[in-house]
Amino acid sequence: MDDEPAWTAGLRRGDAAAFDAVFAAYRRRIFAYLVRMTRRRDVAEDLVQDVFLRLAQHGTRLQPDTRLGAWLFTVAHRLVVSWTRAQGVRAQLAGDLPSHEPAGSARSPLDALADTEAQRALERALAALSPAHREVALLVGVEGLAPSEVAAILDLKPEAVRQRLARARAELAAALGDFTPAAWRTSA
Amino acid sequence: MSSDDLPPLPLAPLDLDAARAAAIAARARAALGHGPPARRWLEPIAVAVFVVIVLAWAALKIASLLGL
Repeated sequence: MDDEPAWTAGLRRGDAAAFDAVFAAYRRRIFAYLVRMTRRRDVAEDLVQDVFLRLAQHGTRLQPDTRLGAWLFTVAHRLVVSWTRAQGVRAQLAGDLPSHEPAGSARSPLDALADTEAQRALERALAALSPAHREVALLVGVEGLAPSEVAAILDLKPEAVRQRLARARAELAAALGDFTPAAWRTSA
Repeated sequence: MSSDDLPPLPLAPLDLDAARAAAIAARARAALGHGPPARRWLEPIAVAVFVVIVLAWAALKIASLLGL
Protein backbone atom coordinates (compact mmCIF):
# COMPACT_ATOMS: atom_id res chain seq x y z
CA MET A 1 0.00 0.00 0.00
CA ASP A 2 1.22 3.47 -0.85
CA ASP A 3 0.71 4.83 2.66
CA GLU A 4 2.75 2.11 4.32
CA PRO A 5 6.06 4.03 4.66
CA ALA A 6 4.18 6.86 6.42
CA TRP A 7 2.33 4.39 8.65
CA THR A 8 5.57 2.61 9.53
CA ALA A 9 7.22 5.94 10.35
CA GLY A 10 4.23 6.80 12.54
CA LEU A 11 4.34 3.47 14.35
CA ARG A 12 8.06 3.96 15.00
CA ARG A 13 7.13 7.22 16.75
CA GLY A 14 4.30 5.57 18.69
CA ASP A 15 1.71 7.60 16.78
CA ALA A 16 -1.88 6.47 17.53
CA ALA A 17 -3.22 7.82 14.23
CA ALA A 18 -0.78 5.63 12.30
CA PHE A 19 -1.85 2.63 14.35
CA ASP A 20 -5.52 3.39 13.65
CA ALA A 21 -4.81 3.62 9.92
CA VAL A 22 -3.04 0.25 9.91
CA PHE A 23 -5.81 -1.32 11.98
CA ALA A 24 -8.47 -0.01 9.59
CA ALA A 25 -6.53 -1.18 6.55
CA TYR A 26 -5.66 -4.67 7.75
CA ARG A 27 -8.12 -5.81 10.40
CA ARG A 28 -10.59 -7.40 7.94
CA ARG A 29 -7.85 -9.18 6.01
CA ILE A 30 -6.16 -10.54 9.13
CA PHE A 31 -9.49 -11.51 10.68
CA ALA A 32 -10.70 -13.31 7.54
CA TYR A 33 -7.41 -15.21 7.31
CA LEU A 34 -7.65 -16.23 10.98
CA VAL A 35 -11.31 -17.31 10.73
CA ARG A 36 -10.58 -19.48 7.71
CA MET A 37 -7.47 -21.00 9.29
CA THR A 38 -8.93 -21.72 12.73
CA ARG A 39 -12.55 -22.31 11.57
CA ARG A 40 -13.55 -20.57 14.80
CA ARG A 41 -14.81 -17.00 14.90
CA ASP A 42 -14.26 -16.67 18.65
CA VAL A 43 -10.66 -17.87 18.37
CA ALA A 44 -10.07 -15.59 15.39
CA GLU A 45 -11.29 -12.60 17.43
CA ASP A 46 -8.80 -13.39 20.20
CA LEU A 47 -5.95 -13.93 17.75
CA VAL A 48 -6.62 -10.75 15.79
CA GLN A 49 -6.38 -8.90 19.09
CA ASP A 50 -3.02 -10.56 19.77
CA VAL A 51 -1.77 -9.59 16.29
CA PHE A 52 -2.55 -5.91 16.77
CA LEU A 53 -1.34 -5.91 20.38
CA ARG A 54 2.01 -7.14 19.12
CA LEU A 55 2.04 -4.45 16.45
CA ALA A 56 1.42 -1.83 19.14
CA GLN A 57 4.10 -3.29 21.41
CA HIS A 58 6.73 -3.71 18.69
CA GLY A 59 5.81 -0.72 16.52
CA THR A 60 8.63 1.50 17.74
CA ARG A 61 11.16 -1.20 16.81
CA LEU A 62 9.98 -1.74 13.22
CA GLN A 63 12.52 -1.17 10.48
CA PRO A 64 11.72 1.83 8.22
CA ASP A 65 11.29 -0.48 5.21
CA THR A 66 9.07 -3.01 7.01
CA ARG A 67 6.25 -4.31 4.84
CA LEU A 68 3.37 -4.13 7.26
CA GLY A 69 1.16 -6.65 5.47
CA ALA A 70 3.88 -9.28 5.48
CA TRP A 71 4.73 -8.46 9.12
CA LEU A 72 1.10 -8.79 10.25
CA PHE A 73 0.52 -12.04 8.34
CA THR A 74 3.76 -13.46 9.75
CA VAL A 75 2.55 -12.79 13.30
CA ALA A 76 -0.91 -14.16 12.45
CA HIS A 77 0.64 -17.31 10.95
CA ARG A 78 2.75 -17.90 14.09
CA LEU A 79 -0.28 -17.45 16.32
CA VAL A 80 -2.23 -19.96 14.24
CA VAL A 81 0.66 -22.45 14.53
CA SER A 82 0.75 -21.99 18.33
CA TRP A 83 -3.02 -22.32 18.60
CA THR A 84 -3.03 -25.46 16.43
CA ARG A 85 -0.30 -27.03 18.60
CA ALA A 86 -2.24 -26.19 21.75
CA GLN A 87 -5.37 -27.73 20.22
CA GLY A 88 -3.41 -30.90 19.47
CA VAL A 89 -2.10 -31.11 23.05
CA ARG A 90 -5.60 -30.52 24.46
CA ALA A 91 -7.03 -33.19 22.17
CA GLN A 92 -4.34 -35.66 23.25
CA LEU A 93 -4.98 -34.92 26.91
CA ALA A 94 -8.68 -35.49 26.28
CA GLY A 95 -7.94 -38.69 24.35
CA ASP A 96 -9.49 -37.25 21.20
CA LEU A 97 -8.29 -36.73 17.68
CA PRO A 98 -7.45 -33.07 16.97
CA SER A 99 -10.29 -31.23 15.34
CA HIS A 100 -10.57 -27.67 14.08
CA GLU A 101 -14.36 -27.80 13.95
CA PRO A 102 -16.42 -27.20 17.08
CA ALA A 103 -18.06 -30.46 18.11
CA GLY A 104 -21.49 -30.98 16.64
CA SER A 105 -21.26 -28.34 13.94
CA ALA A 106 -22.61 -29.87 10.76
CA ARG A 107 -22.48 -26.51 9.02
CA SER A 108 -19.38 -24.37 8.92
CA PRO A 109 -19.88 -20.91 10.47
CA LEU A 110 -18.56 -19.58 7.17
CA ASP A 111 -21.45 -21.19 5.27
CA ALA A 112 -23.88 -18.77 6.87
CA LEU A 113 -21.86 -15.81 5.63
CA ALA A 114 -21.50 -16.93 2.03
CA ASP A 115 -23.86 -15.06 -0.29
CA THR A 116 -23.97 -17.49 -3.18
CA GLU A 117 -23.85 -21.21 -3.73
CA ALA A 118 -20.50 -20.74 -5.46
CA GLN A 119 -19.09 -19.04 -2.36
CA ARG A 120 -20.45 -21.81 -0.14
CA ALA A 121 -18.85 -24.40 -2.40
CA LEU A 122 -15.56 -22.51 -2.27
CA GLU A 123 -15.68 -22.19 1.53
CA ARG A 124 -16.30 -25.93 1.83
CA ALA A 125 -13.55 -26.74 -0.65
CA LEU A 126 -11.11 -24.52 1.25
CA ALA A 127 -12.12 -26.06 4.56
CA ALA A 128 -11.43 -29.52 3.17
CA LEU A 129 -7.83 -28.60 2.26
CA SER A 130 -5.06 -29.44 4.70
CA PRO A 131 -4.13 -26.38 6.81
CA ALA A 132 -0.81 -26.05 4.95
CA HIS A 133 -2.49 -25.99 1.53
CA ARG A 134 -5.38 -23.80 2.76
CA GLU A 135 -2.96 -21.24 4.15
CA VAL A 136 -1.09 -20.91 0.86
CA ALA A 137 -4.36 -20.71 -1.09
CA LEU A 138 -5.64 -17.94 1.20
CA LEU A 139 -2.46 -15.90 1.14
CA VAL A 140 -2.14 -16.08 -2.66
CA GLY A 141 -5.75 -16.40 -3.83
CA VAL A 142 -7.40 -14.05 -1.34
CA GLU A 143 -4.63 -11.75 -0.17
CA GLY A 144 -2.96 -11.54 -3.56
CA LEU A 145 0.52 -12.07 -2.14
CA ALA A 146 3.29 -13.37 -4.40
CA PRO A 147 4.63 -16.88 -3.69
CA SER A 148 7.97 -15.32 -2.71
CA GLU A 149 6.22 -13.15 -0.08
CA VAL A 150 4.28 -16.16 1.18
CA ALA A 151 7.54 -18.10 1.43
CA ALA A 152 8.96 -15.37 3.68
CA ILE A 153 5.82 -15.30 5.85
CA LEU A 154 5.72 -19.07 6.28
CA ASP A 155 9.52 -19.42 6.53
CA LEU A 156 9.56 -21.82 3.59
CA LYS A 157 11.52 -22.03 0.35
CA PRO A 158 9.65 -20.49 -2.62
CA GLU A 159 9.69 -23.89 -4.32
CA ALA A 160 7.83 -25.44 -1.38
CA VAL A 161 5.19 -22.72 -1.61
CA ARG A 162 4.78 -23.31 -5.36
CA GLN A 163 4.32 -27.03 -4.76
CA ARG A 164 1.70 -26.42 -2.08
CA LEU A 165 -0.03 -23.92 -4.32
CA ALA A 166 -0.18 -26.32 -7.26
CA ARG A 167 -1.63 -29.04 -5.03
CA ALA A 168 -4.11 -26.64 -3.42
CA ARG A 169 -5.25 -25.47 -6.84
CA ALA A 170 -5.73 -29.04 -8.08
CA GLU A 171 -7.63 -30.05 -4.92
CA LEU A 172 -9.83 -26.95 -5.10
CA ALA A 173 -10.63 -27.55 -8.78
CA ALA A 174 -11.52 -31.18 -8.05
CA ALA A 175 -13.72 -30.22 -5.10
CA LEU A 176 -15.45 -27.32 -6.85
CA GLY A 177 -16.61 -29.27 -9.90
CA ASP A 178 -19.13 -27.10 -11.78
CA PHE A 179 -18.23 -24.11 -9.58
CA THR A 180 -14.62 -24.06 -10.76
CA PRO A 181 -13.88 -20.53 -12.04
CA ALA A 182 -13.71 -20.36 -15.82
CA ALA A 183 -10.17 -18.91 -15.69
CA TRP A 184 -8.92 -22.13 -14.10
CA ARG A 185 -10.34 -24.28 -16.89
CA THR A 186 -8.83 -22.25 -19.73
CA SER A 187 -5.32 -22.15 -18.23
CA ALA A 188 -2.97 -25.08 -18.40
CA MET B 1 -2.01 -18.10 -15.34
CA SER B 2 1.12 -20.05 -14.46
CA SER B 3 1.11 -23.26 -12.46
CA ASP B 4 2.39 -21.40 -9.37
CA ASP B 5 -0.40 -18.84 -9.50
CA LEU B 6 -3.96 -18.85 -8.24
CA PRO B 7 -6.75 -16.57 -9.48
CA PRO B 8 -8.54 -14.44 -6.89
CA LEU B 9 -10.88 -16.58 -4.79
CA PRO B 10 -14.30 -14.88 -4.66
CA LEU B 11 -15.01 -15.38 -0.97
CA ALA B 12 -17.51 -13.44 1.12
CA PRO B 13 -15.86 -10.61 3.10
CA LEU B 14 -15.53 -11.19 6.85
CA ASP B 15 -15.21 -8.59 9.57
CA LEU B 16 -15.28 -8.20 13.31
CA ASP B 17 -18.41 -6.65 14.70
CA ALA B 18 -17.99 -2.93 15.27
CA ALA B 19 -17.98 -3.08 19.09
CA ARG B 20 -15.35 -5.83 19.20
CA ALA B 21 -13.20 -4.03 16.63
CA ALA B 22 -13.35 -0.82 18.67
CA ALA B 23 -12.44 -2.70 21.87
CA ILE B 24 -9.46 -4.40 20.22
CA ALA B 25 -8.23 -1.12 18.74
CA ALA B 26 -8.56 0.66 22.09
CA ARG B 27 -6.69 -2.08 23.96
CA ALA B 28 -3.89 -2.21 21.40
CA ARG B 29 -3.66 1.60 21.23
CA ALA B 30 -3.15 1.68 25.00
CA ALA B 31 -0.13 -0.61 24.56
CA LEU B 32 1.36 1.56 21.81
CA GLY B 33 5.08 2.12 22.31
CA HIS B 34 5.19 0.33 25.68
CA GLY B 35 6.98 -2.78 24.47
CA PRO B 36 6.10 -6.33 25.47
CA PRO B 37 4.89 -6.74 29.07
CA ALA B 38 7.66 -7.51 31.58
CA ARG B 39 5.83 -10.62 32.80
CA ARG B 40 6.69 -12.19 29.46
CA TRP B 41 10.22 -12.72 30.81
CA LEU B 42 9.14 -14.01 34.21
CA GLU B 43 8.73 -17.66 33.26
CA PRO B 44 12.02 -18.08 31.32
CA ILE B 45 13.92 -16.32 34.15
CA ALA B 46 12.30 -18.54 36.79
CA VAL B 47 13.14 -21.67 34.77
CA ALA B 48 16.74 -20.50 34.25
CA VAL B 49 17.22 -19.81 37.97
CA PHE B 50 15.77 -23.22 38.86
CA VAL B 51 18.04 -25.01 36.37
CA VAL B 52 21.15 -23.18 37.65
CA ILE B 53 20.30 -24.06 41.27
CA VAL B 54 19.74 -27.74 40.40
CA LEU B 55 23.00 -27.91 38.42
CA ALA B 56 24.94 -26.22 41.24
CA TRP B 57 23.44 -28.61 43.79
CA ALA B 58 24.32 -31.60 41.55
CA ALA B 59 27.89 -30.36 41.10
CA LEU B 60 28.35 -29.92 44.86
CA LYS B 61 26.86 -33.35 45.50
CA ILE B 62 29.22 -34.99 43.00
CA ALA B 63 32.16 -33.08 44.44
CA SER B 64 31.31 -34.25 47.98
CA LEU B 65 30.89 -37.86 46.83
CA LEU B 66 34.31 -37.70 45.19
CA GLY B 67 35.75 -36.22 48.37
CA LEU B 68 36.85 -33.02 46.73
